[in-house]
Amino acid sequence: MSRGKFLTPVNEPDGSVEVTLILPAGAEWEALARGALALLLSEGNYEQHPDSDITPEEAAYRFVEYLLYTFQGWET
Amino acid sequence: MSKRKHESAFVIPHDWEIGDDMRCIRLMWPSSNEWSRLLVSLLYLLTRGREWDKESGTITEVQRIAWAIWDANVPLRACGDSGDGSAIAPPGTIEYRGGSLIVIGEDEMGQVVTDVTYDAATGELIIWFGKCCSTRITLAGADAGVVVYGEPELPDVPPGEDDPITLPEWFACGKATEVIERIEAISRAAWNNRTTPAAMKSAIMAANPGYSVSMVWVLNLYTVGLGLSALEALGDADIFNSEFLKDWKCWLLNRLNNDAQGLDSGTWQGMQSWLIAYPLENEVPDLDVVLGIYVMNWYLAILDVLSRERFNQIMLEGAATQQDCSDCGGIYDTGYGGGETPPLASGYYLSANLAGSAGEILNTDAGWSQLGMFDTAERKIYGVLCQLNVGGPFCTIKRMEWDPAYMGLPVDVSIWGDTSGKLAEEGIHIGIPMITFPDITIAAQLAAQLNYSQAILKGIGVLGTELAVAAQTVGAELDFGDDTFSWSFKEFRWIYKSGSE
Repeated sequence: MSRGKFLTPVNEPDGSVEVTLILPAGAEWEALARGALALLLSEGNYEQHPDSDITPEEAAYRFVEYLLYTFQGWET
Repeated sequence: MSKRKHESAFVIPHDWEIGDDMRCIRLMWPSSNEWSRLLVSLLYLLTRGREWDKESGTITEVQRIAWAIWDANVPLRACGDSGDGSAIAPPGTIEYRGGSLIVIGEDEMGQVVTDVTYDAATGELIIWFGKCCSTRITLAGADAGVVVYGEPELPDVPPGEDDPITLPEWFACGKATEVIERIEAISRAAWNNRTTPAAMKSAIMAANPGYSVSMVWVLNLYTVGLGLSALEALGDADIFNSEFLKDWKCWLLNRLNNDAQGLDSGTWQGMQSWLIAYPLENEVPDLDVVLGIYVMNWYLAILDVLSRERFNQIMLEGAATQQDCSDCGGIYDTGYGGGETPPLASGYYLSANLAGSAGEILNTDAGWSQLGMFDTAERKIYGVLCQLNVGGPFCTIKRMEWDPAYMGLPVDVSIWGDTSGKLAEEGIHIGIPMITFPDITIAAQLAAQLNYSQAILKGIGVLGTELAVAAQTVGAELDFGDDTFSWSFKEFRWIYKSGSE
């Protein structure tokens, strides 16, 4: 993918937290937001940070649970 | 500049306009500043025009919406948080961890603000760009300015006065100006004493102290002078035409590197050719063709009298003197003559996006990049000068000269950066700087001093919104010595040339 890649985080997160995301109240925009978030689910969108033990595959996998939770609660 | 083609791009939505309702979504996210940056990076991604499918709508419009989304969300807030300090990324908690978190462009790179500290002993705010480099902002005092440095620290002095090496923007202008002024002075002395070769030589030496001239070349000049005198019946040749002399200065200006020790033989010959071809008739009405030829022969003879060696000496004598070359037009161009690949071995160069103008200004030489900017309030050009060191770039922002050609044009400034230290072959890491200030008062002071635009604030990530608010609160003036101006930079990038066009 030629779009830029995310460097894998160096440190493990300290649990999880709910974050507020304010978006345009339009179905197309919300769909786009979900699509953008879904970029985090693909290991191909990450690049290994040299100081990180977290691999692109692991980083992408972490977001499966988070985004699954998010998408399930995302009322359209 | 390389152009990137996307394999995919966002399709521009059409069901919302700025001013319509927004909706709050609750996301589950890793509780970590570092991981939160991924979300911020995603939000930032939406603001980039290149990420959108241009066939699906108007990119500039969707960018405006994207920035509205950014403003609504950054800094990120936990659910139920009003944004009064308990945001996910609370001020002062973000540490440099050795890398930015997003790669956006294969042709963009720059500085990433990784931390901000306050030096109570000096009253300076220190903005860190990774471990190597920092910016010190004096929060009090008239001559604030901005100096970004690695090693050694750049003194904050007016260009050309104390340390010309650190502020080379005046070098080329000083050189060109000095040379032309001395040529005019010598030329006038010779012309006014063309009674005999000996008188002419004495006058030249008086105007060119400490340097002997060859009688052979004086005789040549004397002969040309005789011819000019004999042809005076043909009209006024206006030998010292001010426009011609200015054009000569500007010709030199655009061919001089700040660090150049003088003209090489090729440029020397090029200047002679330029003189021969100069259309003096455009500046001198009803100029007789023969007279025009003699005028240029006069100046060619003056160059012979001086010699290239002496010419270069004079040039260097003027290097440290601050001069005004704004009459040369265009963005002040003292180093790099143009082209797409600036001669920076390290692969960086500066680019500016002047909205509504041709777009890009490049000016580099010997590791320095220079970017002309302007202030819409005072209409003066300011310069961002950066030099790339092993430890990273260091920059200084200094007032430069005003060019009316860019008057009134909005300038977009943002600072992007990279802290990863990796220059991937196919991609460049551009950081979403994640900094917060420990004290909003300090941020406000900084904002007041720099009057960062919204764009630059956005460019520095989480802090952006805070600073933007602070700037609006405190005001928008920067005391820059004798000049108070509104900072209107909006686009200032380090761009990395990957070499893979």
